Amino acid sequence: MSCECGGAGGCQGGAAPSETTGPTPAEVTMASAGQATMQMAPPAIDHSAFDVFNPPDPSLISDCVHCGFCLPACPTYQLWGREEDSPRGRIYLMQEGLENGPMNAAMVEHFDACLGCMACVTACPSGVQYDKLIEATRGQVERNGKHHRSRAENGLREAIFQLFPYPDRLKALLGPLKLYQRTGLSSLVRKSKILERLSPTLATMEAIAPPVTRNVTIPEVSLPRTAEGQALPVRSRVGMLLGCVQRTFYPQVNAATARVLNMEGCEVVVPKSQGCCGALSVHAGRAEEGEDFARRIVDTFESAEVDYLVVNSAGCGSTMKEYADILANDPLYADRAEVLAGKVRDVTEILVELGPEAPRHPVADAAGTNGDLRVAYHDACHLSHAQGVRNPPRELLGQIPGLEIAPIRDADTCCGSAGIYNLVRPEAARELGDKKATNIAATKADLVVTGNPGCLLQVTDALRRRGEDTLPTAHTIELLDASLTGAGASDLLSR
Amino acid sequence: MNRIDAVLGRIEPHLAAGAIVTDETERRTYECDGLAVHKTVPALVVRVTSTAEVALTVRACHEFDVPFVARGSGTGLSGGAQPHAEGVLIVMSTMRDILDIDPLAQRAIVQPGVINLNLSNEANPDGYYFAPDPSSQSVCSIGGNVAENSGGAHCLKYGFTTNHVTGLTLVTAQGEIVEIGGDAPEYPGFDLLGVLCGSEGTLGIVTEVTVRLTRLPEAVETLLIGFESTDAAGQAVSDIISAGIMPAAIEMMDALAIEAAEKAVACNYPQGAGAVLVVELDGPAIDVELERETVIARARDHGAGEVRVAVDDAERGLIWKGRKSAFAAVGRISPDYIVQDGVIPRSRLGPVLSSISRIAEECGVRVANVFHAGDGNLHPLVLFDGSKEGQTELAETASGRILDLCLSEGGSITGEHGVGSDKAKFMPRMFTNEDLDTMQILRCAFDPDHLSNPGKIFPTPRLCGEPPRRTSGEHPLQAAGKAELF
Amino acid sequence: MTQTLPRLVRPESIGELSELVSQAHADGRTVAVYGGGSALDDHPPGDTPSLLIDMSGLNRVIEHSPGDLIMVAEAGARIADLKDVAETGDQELLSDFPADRVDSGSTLGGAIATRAVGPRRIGRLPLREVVLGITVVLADGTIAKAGGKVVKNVAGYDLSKLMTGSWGTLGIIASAAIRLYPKAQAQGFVEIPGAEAALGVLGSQVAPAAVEIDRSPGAQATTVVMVEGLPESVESRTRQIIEANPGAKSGFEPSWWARRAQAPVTIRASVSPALVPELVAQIARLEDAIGYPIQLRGSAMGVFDLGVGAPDTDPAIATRVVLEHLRTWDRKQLIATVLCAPPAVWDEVDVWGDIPGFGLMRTIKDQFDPDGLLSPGRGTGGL
Repeated sequence: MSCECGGAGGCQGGAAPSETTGPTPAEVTMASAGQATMQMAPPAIDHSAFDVFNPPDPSLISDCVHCGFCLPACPTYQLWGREEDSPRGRIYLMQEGLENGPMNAAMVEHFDACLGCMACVTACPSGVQYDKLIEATRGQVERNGKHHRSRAENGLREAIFQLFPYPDRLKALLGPLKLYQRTGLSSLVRKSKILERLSPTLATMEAIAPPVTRNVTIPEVSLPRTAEGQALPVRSRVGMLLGCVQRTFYPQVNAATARVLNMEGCEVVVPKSQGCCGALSVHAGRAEEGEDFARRIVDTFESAEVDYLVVNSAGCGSTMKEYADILANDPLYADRAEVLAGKVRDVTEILVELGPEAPRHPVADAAGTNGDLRVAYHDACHLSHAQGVRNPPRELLGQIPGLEIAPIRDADTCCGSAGIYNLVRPEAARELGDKKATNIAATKADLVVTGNPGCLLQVTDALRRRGEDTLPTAHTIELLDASLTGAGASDLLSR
Repeated sequence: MNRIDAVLGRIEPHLAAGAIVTDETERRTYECDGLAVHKTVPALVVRVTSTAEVALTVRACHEFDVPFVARGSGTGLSGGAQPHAEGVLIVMSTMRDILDIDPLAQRAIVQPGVINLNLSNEANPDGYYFAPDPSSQSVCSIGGNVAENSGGAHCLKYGFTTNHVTGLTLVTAQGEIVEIGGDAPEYPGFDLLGVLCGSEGTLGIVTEVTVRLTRLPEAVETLLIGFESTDAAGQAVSDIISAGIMPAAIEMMDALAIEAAEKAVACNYPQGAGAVLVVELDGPAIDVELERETVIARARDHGAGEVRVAVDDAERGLIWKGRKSAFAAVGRISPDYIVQDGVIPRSRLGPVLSSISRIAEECGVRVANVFHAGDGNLHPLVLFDGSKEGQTELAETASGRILDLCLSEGGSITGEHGVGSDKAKFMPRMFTNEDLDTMQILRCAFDPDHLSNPGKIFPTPRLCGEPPRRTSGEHPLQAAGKAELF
Repeated sequence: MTQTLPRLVRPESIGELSELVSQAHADGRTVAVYGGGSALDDHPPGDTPSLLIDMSGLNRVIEHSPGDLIMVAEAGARIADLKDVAETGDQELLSDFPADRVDSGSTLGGAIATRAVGPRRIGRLPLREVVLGITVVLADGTIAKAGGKVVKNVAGYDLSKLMTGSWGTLGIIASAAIRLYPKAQAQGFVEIPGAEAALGVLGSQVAPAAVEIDRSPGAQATTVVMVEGLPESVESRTRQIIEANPGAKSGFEPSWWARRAQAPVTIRASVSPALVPELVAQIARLEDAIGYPIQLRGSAMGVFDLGVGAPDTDPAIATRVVLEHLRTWDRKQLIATVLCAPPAVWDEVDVWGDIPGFGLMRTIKDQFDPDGLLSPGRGTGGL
């Protein structure tokens, strides 16, 4: 079966049925169809800017009553105050695209400017499913509108997608990156601001790359045990997604996740062969690519036979919950994807669902007023807006003794990370990051936690730019881990 | 060179890149406001950031006889910001700075694109807020509030926008900048502020507003009360008002509206209620407590079922969420709807609601009712399916009959949404020709060339310089084929 | 300006009124209106009209609906009578209208046309907000109405507001719909020495109904706060105010409440609330500096009457000095005009100063009354 990963993806694991018996005629057709759509222009719809493959659904568009309640929720409307860069305006452009093709530069520009944060979905009183609309539209832009982007941007996007969904390639960067950081070249470059002059994107990439940590191994299977190492009865058998950016740059987050799950009585299965979940691709409209990644994940985790599939990255979890929709048109995967998607949980969700059993130890070391640790929790858009997961992380943090949660003003507004947005639209992302950093700093928190690696990168960089170097950031699960293991938060606070 | 190009030539050198929108696809996104049935693509869109830019643009329009329309957040419900096909749409949403908040003077100075709720949020830390609170306050602009003289749920007690404006900067239809009023509460002479508030952008463009801020009340209590019927709820309202209580807000929703709101925001309103009242009491804590007891007692007199008193801000927000999202929420139970804005004397609420049911039945449409029970301002939502043949016409018929009903009761065709383009044709049902002509004398004083948001409010423009009393016969404009009498 | 006396007429219906005005228009006669004559000395007298219309014949109550909080009455009805009618429904009409004007027979039309206000500016909608609808007779006799009789209405331009405070120069008010208020069960008064406390009370959460400041010439200012509502509430809130303000004591309605101070010249000054203490202080200093009595009385919301001079003295120079001083302030912060003066003084002072938006006002006047027939010279700025 053809695939696009060039061999660096992880398909050695879950064996596809075709491995032993050879491709079925249906699979051959599918495969060649896939090839065909990548190579030929897909059939367009008359007078429309869109092709026949999943155009934005007119019935979803007609749900919009043009009330405008989405405008203040939209980060780009907050930045620019322009109708065409608001959800209402973008829906209007989709309608325009359906009625009057072809796709033009204006449409592409404004669809691309959308962060995909889904704050509008939360704000909309009419229940417009903008998430489905923008996903479909992004795919359309990829297939029918790329020529309206600059060559530089198209080149950048290609480069991003040759790198980020491939953990092995990311890993290969680690060595040089470590050198770059350890030799002090990194601080030199930052001080000189040369990258900002050369390319805001390069500057962003450089800025957000976290300090390379030593490697951490996650066992393929780990059994439930207490913080002290005593065995626990198995409450559930769960798979865990390693993620691409997460496993490369934040392996300690994965380690903490597995540990916490263990301490809460979970047998954790981490198939080594797992690859990318496809979130970045799906969110960027690279539908084919995303579907392929999705199929691999379905294969991998299906054979792992788990009760739940736990994800500690908001963006990944949100896409994986949509696998049924993503693979709805693939007769070989549709049902299987639905089953797997039903098992997907954010790590905070599953912990709340199972119910806390491990004892929580205080994390503050007499830091902060009256010994309480003041923690600001940043809602990742793909947790709060896309998955509706707002309470579980707060509930978990609330269970930690001596911890005070400080609310962040404008919590519903995106930090600007938004998948690859901060790389392709660095100026806008930076403005949003600055606003978020200002709001976070205003909480006077001792620590900021969030549930998404992209947010973590963006927020850390924004705080550093603001001069808030001393405000440490971490993944939510790391703080919970610190409480369950009894290690306390001093490690996290000294970042 | 056509006139739009001439205007473009005048303004382009002075505006920032990106301020001018000529691309047709982009212009199309501005073709309507919150009332999507009335659409016109503007010939040119200009996004402004200062009074000087507005004056420049208007002067250019005046020079070349090009009409212009101002737009705030585009959430109006009467088509007031519907553009002119050969005109310029001047977008004020990019002019959105809060210039000053002065708690001691109880004033704020804002640019017109500032969002209503944002102003209140900014003033809150000092203990103040901006009292007019339309349901769309999370997105509507202060400039839009001034243009429509917006009310909101709290206007029975606190008044409309006009009661909260003490000064403004106006760019006249000729492009001149005039400063009116200021921080002081009263200014001598004709009440220009009173006339400009509610003038729907037809007398020039407001580019800066000095507003009065209101002290946050010591206590606020929100009650949600379920009744068996709108009649019972209406009678409870009468009793509450007769008891001498002036609630900060008193809103009613009927069963159909409740259903929609429930689907939209899961506000958890009392199940099976024929009507709910959302009552808000504010003021000194002792007043609120005393009034609350009276409200509950009067409600129980009329068979109130569940009485819920919000215990914290979150609960209060949820109760209001149901009411404030009602319009957009009906989108979930019906593909299309028309929202009306009629006013009737409050004492006639019961009979009028019955008549509305009858009209709905006769026209074969459903009508959900949401309204400001305290001041008789109804928002019947006429639900229909535009894709089914004849439904749109039936809905419009029902809509018109409801307005006529309001007028026959001595009410008004619009309590807060404004006339705009949507209700201009109803103006002659509420006012005589002399009345309309007299109002337009004002228009002639401000905009004799009919360039400022033309075609709004009045179905037939008045030739300036003409005496108000017309002799019988065809109107000259009608004879010239330039206007049609409704 | 003609010295002949005007011809006096007394219509008894709006139709009659319209005909009279229409005829005057055709004849090119100037027209003025007489209600209760309670504001004759306010504003410069203007040109002697050719036709003087006595409105006392139009005094009917057209509609009274307590349940809907409205009353509709003809313009010649006396405020005192209308208040009695409102009382039958346990309600109040124009509760903030000056008491001395009520006593001297002000009519509804006169009240609206002169836009006089007394205390009770806070917590209640002011006069301009309670005129819900209006019927006017224009310069050429056309009868036109605007607004309606419901408390909420934005159909068309708000001509009610245009006519309010227009002093008969844009049209003759024939009838009006007024919003009523429930009568409060109890009232309480608190007296606080000085003027500094006023701002604090305004910015507090006791929701006062009025905060008035009175300063007799040469004396210290007094702040008087009024609260109203249920007896329990009034008691509690007066206590709160007394506790919060040293020197405060509970009192009764002062004799000067809602009444204008008697002085030869009255200057109306409207000022930003934040600058009220500063204004009071400056007036005291000015009084010392020029050695001439200046009375100050008004609402801490920022509307004051300054009474200049004592009986048997010529106030012209003092008035000029006070006006000049007040006009050194930015007009966005304070604006001052002469409200009342002896006949000779009108010509000796700059009555109006610089009125924001005056150009637009003149244009409006020209449009409504191109021939300048309605109360010429009687309006603001001499319109």
